[in-house]
Amino acid sequence: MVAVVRRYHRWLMLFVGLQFLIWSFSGLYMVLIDIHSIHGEDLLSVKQPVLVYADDTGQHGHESLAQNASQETRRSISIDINQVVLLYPDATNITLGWLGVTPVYRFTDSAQVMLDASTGELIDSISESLALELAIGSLKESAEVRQIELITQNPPSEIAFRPLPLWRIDFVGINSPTLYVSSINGEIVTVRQNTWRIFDLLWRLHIMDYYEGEDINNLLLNIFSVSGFLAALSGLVLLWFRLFKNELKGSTL
Amino acid sequence: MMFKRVHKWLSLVVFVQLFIWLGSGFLLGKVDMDKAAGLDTFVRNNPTSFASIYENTDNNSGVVNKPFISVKSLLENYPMTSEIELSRLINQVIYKLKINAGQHDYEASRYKLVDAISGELIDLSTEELAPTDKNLIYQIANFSYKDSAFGSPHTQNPNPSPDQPEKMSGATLLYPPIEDLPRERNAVWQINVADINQTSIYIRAQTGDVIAHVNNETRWRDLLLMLHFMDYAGEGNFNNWFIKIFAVMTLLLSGTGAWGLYRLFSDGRMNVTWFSRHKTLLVHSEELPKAETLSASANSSILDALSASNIDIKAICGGGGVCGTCKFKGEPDLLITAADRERLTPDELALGYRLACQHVMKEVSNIKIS
Repeated sequence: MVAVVRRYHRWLMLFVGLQFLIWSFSGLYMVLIDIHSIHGEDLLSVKQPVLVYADDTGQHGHESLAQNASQETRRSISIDINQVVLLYPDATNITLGWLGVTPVYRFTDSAQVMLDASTGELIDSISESLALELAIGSLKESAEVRQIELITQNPPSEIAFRPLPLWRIDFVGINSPTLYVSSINGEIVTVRQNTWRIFDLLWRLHIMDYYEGEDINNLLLNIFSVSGFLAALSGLVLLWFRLFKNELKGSTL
Repeated sequence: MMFKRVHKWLSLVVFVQLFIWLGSGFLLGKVDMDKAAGLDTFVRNNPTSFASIYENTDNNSGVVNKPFISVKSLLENYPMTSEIELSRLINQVIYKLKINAGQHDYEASRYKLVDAISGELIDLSTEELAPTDKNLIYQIANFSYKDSAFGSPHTQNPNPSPDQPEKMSGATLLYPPIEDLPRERNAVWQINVADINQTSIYIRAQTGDVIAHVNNETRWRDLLLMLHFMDYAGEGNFNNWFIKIFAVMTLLLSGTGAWGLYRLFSDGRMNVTWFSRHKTLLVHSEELPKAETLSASANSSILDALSASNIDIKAICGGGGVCGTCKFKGEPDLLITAADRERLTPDELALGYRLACQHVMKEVSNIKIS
């Protein structure tokens, strides 16, 4: 009986053993590295400067004192939201926020629209220099840019379905961080770096979906998890024999 | 033989979680992820423009060009604002002011809601809500909900009924930790819907945003994830110390197992050639009236060949090379495996004693068993 179970354990593990190694290794990587750092959140600054209206006297309490240095380059708002509503009566969900140092209105009319809230000018695309400024400005620590390119078609797989066009900005660094900036609204769309790229590869290996990397109910995975279950079960039987069969109590393994 | 001992003790510690991983991983594949995300009931209504508000205000008192509170006065009243959003909350037009927020919505944040016409603060983050505001919570929930069970998607209703929606009840303000929303760090309103999936609708109290429709499929998915991630503290992530320690042990368990398999092959005790030549072996034993000839695959272990021929040999551990009971005597120059060395004395080894589970047919032609 034990001999049969042992043989099953060996031969089943011969079949699924490599996948067990892959599961344990990829799982270990995924749990060891903080998921927020995988997503590049520790690279990005969360500073949220306060909005300032133009004819403010500049007396903005403690807030402007704390941010004095950067406040000077930041521009103030001159266009009221009511003017925007009058100009774009079909606009929905109008937001007033930052595009780097410029306050902007963003909304959807028939398409995505962005207006400079200090001059009222339409901003219809993000230039290379602005994309660079936005990317560098969003980083916590300064970094050297290796290259920048505009992606209009054939997006790299690491940005999946995100709408194009996008600016891709690669930084120098051991982790090769890449920022993707929307060339439509200037938002930091996503951050990719080597820890993410490894995570993505290991995730595909973990779920055994080597192409799309998203189907956790694929046939291969199901076959391996069921046979893996049986292989582990045979191991459990062996363990039970080893621990509770009197003759074997003193023996090693 | 160290790796066998490590393999045994690691398996003893890890085996329960190993089955949980295999089981929950398998079952997660069977979850209807769209349903678990609440997509069966959650409708994102197209926002309406603000034009109608302008028309309405124009009616009685001539031209009203600026019905909404100006940005300037908003910023005077709420100077810490870093982002302003003009949007709709059921029948009201509101400003949502971002005071402080993290990179994820679920992180603790500070927002203010202001009525865009009257300028009044709308505070939904208190348990003692005025009946109209309590009703607003129900309206927000109802507006986001379609009952797929009855195939009647909710259509946008410009004037929702002022009454509490029939199937919804129990509006409660919850503070983190929230059972259905392990990652959420903000106060939320919970509204329960009397539908077949026991949907609960969650509304972030500071913003009035519907953040989730949680149903039984969601709860099942989250239970499986919690088990798979060993997130027994309910933190909503897989970077906890429990799983880190278990992952290290599991990698060692797989590694020692793989090493063992490698050794079986390198010693020739396991072989993947299916059709190998047969080999005959002469077996002498005091138990047998005369020497017996048996024939078996050249690559099968002597122990397996003996058992297959119904020749009795003691093998308590079933061929693991750990009990040392399946002794036979062969030629003294036979290869000595690690298990032989561990289980047999130097004298026995010198005399040609070996373990039958550790040697294959092709190594021997004549053996003696007791």
